[in-house]
Amino acid sequence: MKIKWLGKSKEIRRLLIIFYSFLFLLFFIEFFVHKHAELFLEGLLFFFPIYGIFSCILVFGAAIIVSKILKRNSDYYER
Amino acid sequence: MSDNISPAFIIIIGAFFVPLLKGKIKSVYLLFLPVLAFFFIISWPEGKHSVFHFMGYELIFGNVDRLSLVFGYIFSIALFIGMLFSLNVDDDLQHVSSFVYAGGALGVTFAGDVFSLYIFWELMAISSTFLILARRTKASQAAAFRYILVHVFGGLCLLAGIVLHVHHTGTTEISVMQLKGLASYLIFVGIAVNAAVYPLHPWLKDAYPEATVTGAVFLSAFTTKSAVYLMVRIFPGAELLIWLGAAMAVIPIIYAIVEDDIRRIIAYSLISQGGFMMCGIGIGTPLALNGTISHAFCCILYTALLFMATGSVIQMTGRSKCTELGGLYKTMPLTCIFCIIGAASISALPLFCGFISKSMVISASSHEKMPIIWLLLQCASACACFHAGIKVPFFTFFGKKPEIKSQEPPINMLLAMGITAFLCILIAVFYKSLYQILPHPVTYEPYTMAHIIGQFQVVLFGAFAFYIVFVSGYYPEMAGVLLLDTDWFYRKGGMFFYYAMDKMLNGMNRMCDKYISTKLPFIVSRLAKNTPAKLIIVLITPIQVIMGSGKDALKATQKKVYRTFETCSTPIGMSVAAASLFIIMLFFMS
Repeated sequence: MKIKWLGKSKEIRRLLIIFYSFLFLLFFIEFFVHKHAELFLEGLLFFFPIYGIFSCILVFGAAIIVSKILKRNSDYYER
Repeated sequence: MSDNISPAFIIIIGAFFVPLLKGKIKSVYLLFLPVLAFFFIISWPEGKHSVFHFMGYELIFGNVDRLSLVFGYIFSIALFIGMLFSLNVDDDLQHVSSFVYAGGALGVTFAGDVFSLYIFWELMAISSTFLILARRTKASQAAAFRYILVHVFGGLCLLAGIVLHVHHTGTTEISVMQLKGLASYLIFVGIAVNAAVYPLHPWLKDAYPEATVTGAVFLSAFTTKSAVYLMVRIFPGAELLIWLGAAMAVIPIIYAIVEDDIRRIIAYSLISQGGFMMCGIGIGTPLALNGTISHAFCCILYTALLFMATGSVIQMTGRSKCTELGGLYKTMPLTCIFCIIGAASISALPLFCGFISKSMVISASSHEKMPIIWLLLQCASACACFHAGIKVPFFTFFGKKPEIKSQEPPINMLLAMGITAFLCILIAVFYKSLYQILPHPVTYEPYTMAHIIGQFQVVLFGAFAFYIVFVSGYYPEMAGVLLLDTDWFYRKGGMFFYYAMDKMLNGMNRMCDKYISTKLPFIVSRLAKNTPAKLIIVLITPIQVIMGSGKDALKATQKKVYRTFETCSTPIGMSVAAASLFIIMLFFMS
């Protein structure tokens, strides 16, 4: 599905630059954070950003597959 | 104030005076009742109050402890906010139902015995149904019908469990139970239905989006959270809840991604948030239970805020689909800001209330060394950001659509949203005030650098993945799409049952009608009419043939015999002859 939104106006470009900069900062700030890891995974370097992306893409993939199998027309129960 | 007056009674009895009032007095009264209930609750000392004796059992309407007080506070706050939001609604049915419903939730919270619990439990089910019916559409009527049927099923399970429990133990007191034996499982299922525990959850996404704009706000606050309260009270540490909760936290996200209706997306998010609570109850440690209770507290606020914001959009535009909305940030800027605050709270971003509660449950899973549960909850936390935190505000307020005529909702609705948004931030900043009222002592500190950075990383990199999927064009189709859920079993199953019963029972009915009612009497009457005539003809014909009668004479005689029997004008001798012949025949046949 193609998503239409406000487009590529100056404001949006500016917002995206801020967003990317914040992501960049969040990614590398990890070197300066002391972690109290209770699980092995928590202590891994860059675990949270990688898992954030990975888990979301995984769920999206699941949504695409599930929607192909379980998708019906919105009037399915009225028929 | 008298200790013996339950706030539940104040609200329920007070509800019936609402139709008698008009104008500003009515508005003041609608806001006064929740405030009065709140002051009754904060002035209630811990212990047992409002105790009545009935048929040899104690009915306790005021079991006041730290656990019930937390839920009492938030229920009365939610009632106040909901009432403020619905002040402009000129429908007494909704106001009375909302009050009775909230009173029922308070009754469940402070019930100290299983019988009074059951009374308030059913009161909630019945009164909340009217909040769906009050939308007065065909879809809402159908949804309300399914809603009440599911809750009747849950209520009957609870009742059966209560009866068995009282029969086995001889006590009506509400206490901690192990999941062992039929009674405990029945009570568990009864509560799980209301908590929308997977796979008993689909009534929620079916009914809430069909409720009235204001009704959905009340619905989001009371049914699931009173069930969470009961789970905490009765089944803390039930391991089954850990896995059910994890499934409940993750699976609804898949549906929320594909869903087009903005309130249904929030409904799926609500189920997902309930998953965190169920996990916390299942883990059962003081940290996990505190996390569950504080998350229920915060969840009531931010889901109410999201339902208020999306409800305002529906009221002002008449549209409820993501694919039909967009660009409303220009005409509804305040609603947009409140929606974003609700979205940030459900995403558990630092400085928003979801952060100080959700992180407690997630931390409890890592404390107890449950890596798979921890990973699933982190995944649900990241995904909450994009399905409820980004998708709803994005499509509603920033999606590109032709100009939709709209304006900000009435001032009372804005005020209700403003207060809730303020509370979402206030609680996140002054989190220690919430932690102080929790049942167990809290040593947990949410605002550590590692927590803050970790949460930002999971959520914002998840949002980044969301953006990538958006621009790449892989986002699944939403318009006019319905994803089958576990309600298929009772919705299609119900239709199949109806069809099967229709075909089987009505088929039997038709067959009986055809053969027994219609054909059998005809055959019997023909037999009764023709048999004696035929017997006589069999007797007469050889005699006539011997006497030399022709074919025409034989036919004429046969006709005459038939007519004689049809008109019942047979001579006695002929009847006697027929009867004798019949008896002789029977004798030889036997």
